[in-house]
Amino acid sequence: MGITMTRITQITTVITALTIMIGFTAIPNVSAHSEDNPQKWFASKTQSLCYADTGISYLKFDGSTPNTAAAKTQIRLGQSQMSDNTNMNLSETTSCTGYKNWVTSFYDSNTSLAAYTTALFTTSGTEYKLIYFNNNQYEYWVTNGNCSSTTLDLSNISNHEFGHFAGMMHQTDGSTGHTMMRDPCTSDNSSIKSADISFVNPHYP
Amino acid sequence: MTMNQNNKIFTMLAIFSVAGISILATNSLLTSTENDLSATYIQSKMSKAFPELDGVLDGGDATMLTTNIEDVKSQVQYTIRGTVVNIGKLKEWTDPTPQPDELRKLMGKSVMIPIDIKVTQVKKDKSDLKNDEIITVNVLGHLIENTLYLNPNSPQFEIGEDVVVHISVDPNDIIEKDFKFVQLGEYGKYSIQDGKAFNAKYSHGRDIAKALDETQ
Repeated sequence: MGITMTRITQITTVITALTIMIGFTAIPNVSAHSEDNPQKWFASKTQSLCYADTGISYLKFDGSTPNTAAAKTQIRLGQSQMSDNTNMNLSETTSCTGYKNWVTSFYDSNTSLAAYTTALFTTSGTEYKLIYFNNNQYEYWVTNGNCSSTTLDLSNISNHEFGHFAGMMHQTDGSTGHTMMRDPCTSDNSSIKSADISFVNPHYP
Repeated sequence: MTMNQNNKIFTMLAIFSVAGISILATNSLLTSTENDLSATYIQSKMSKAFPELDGVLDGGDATMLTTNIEDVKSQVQYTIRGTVVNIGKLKEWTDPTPQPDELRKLMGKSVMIPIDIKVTQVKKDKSDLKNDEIITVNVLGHLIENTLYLNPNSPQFEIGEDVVVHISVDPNDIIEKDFKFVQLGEYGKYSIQDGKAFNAKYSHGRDIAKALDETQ
């Protein structure tokens, strides 16, 4: 009788322990990013980008057009945030023939659409994306850390776009301070966050 | 085995069971909350209007300054409810932004898609739009080879669709004079289904009256 009850106790303990483990395993990890699309990630962590000076010259930055060098400096901060903090190796190149990644500006009537990064294109075996910043004259690009409809920090938006460039989608999980990948723009766009880094790196070991 | 030992066993069993069931129940609750966020309406697909193309795809991922139409209501000239009666052919326009030749090849052609909407209700109007008139709004994109890439967060439409749209007029006259577009893209357009207004933000629907009133 004593042996039987001991086994019952052991079996019961194992079953309940397993139940607890399954429960914990199945609970979504709210600290990790939840939105992903495998088709958005490059095959290689090393990517070079061409900067289209003529396109960037159309951005009204700090109230003036053209202000190409200053605008490029702000955009490059986004590239640095990604390249310096993750496994991605991003560099600027001037060898821009063929299928390349590009950074430029575009015109869109909708000023609420500040910038975008295209889908990942693959042509002749080469992967590339294009990053666009809206050069509508009512888009007030500045360096003040805000992303309101009246003034818009270019480096903050660039950080977010380089997040898309890496492959991240918009994220809805976590609380303030969790990610620079929210839609719409928030103050968290000011820098890449640890959750962003830990999401990007496994894609580029 | 004594009664005391039995009590200990049953107490342990009860504690572990409660803990395990609680965790599973919590997980079930979290999972069901995620599922509740999924769309409960039939989303429009503009590809139906362009069977000759290889596809109509979302052009990428954007930074939106806001997804609240209230934040930009001063820029909205028209808020109407109506029925989509026509989706026009792709119309090429010239983005004046100077691009290097190599880049221009990759960008494809800048195109607009005119959407004709027959007005059934006018809520906000800076002209004298009347019921049964047609108003044309436009969606922008790029045609690369034979695939249409809509600018990110663009609204999609289908012929016969009952919609509420918040429309702005581009003051720059760059694409064309009095160019009309849906303010905030997919967040400024609702599809009316089963007596409710649905869009990317309100996937469970909201009162049509509230959708119409948000630019007042």
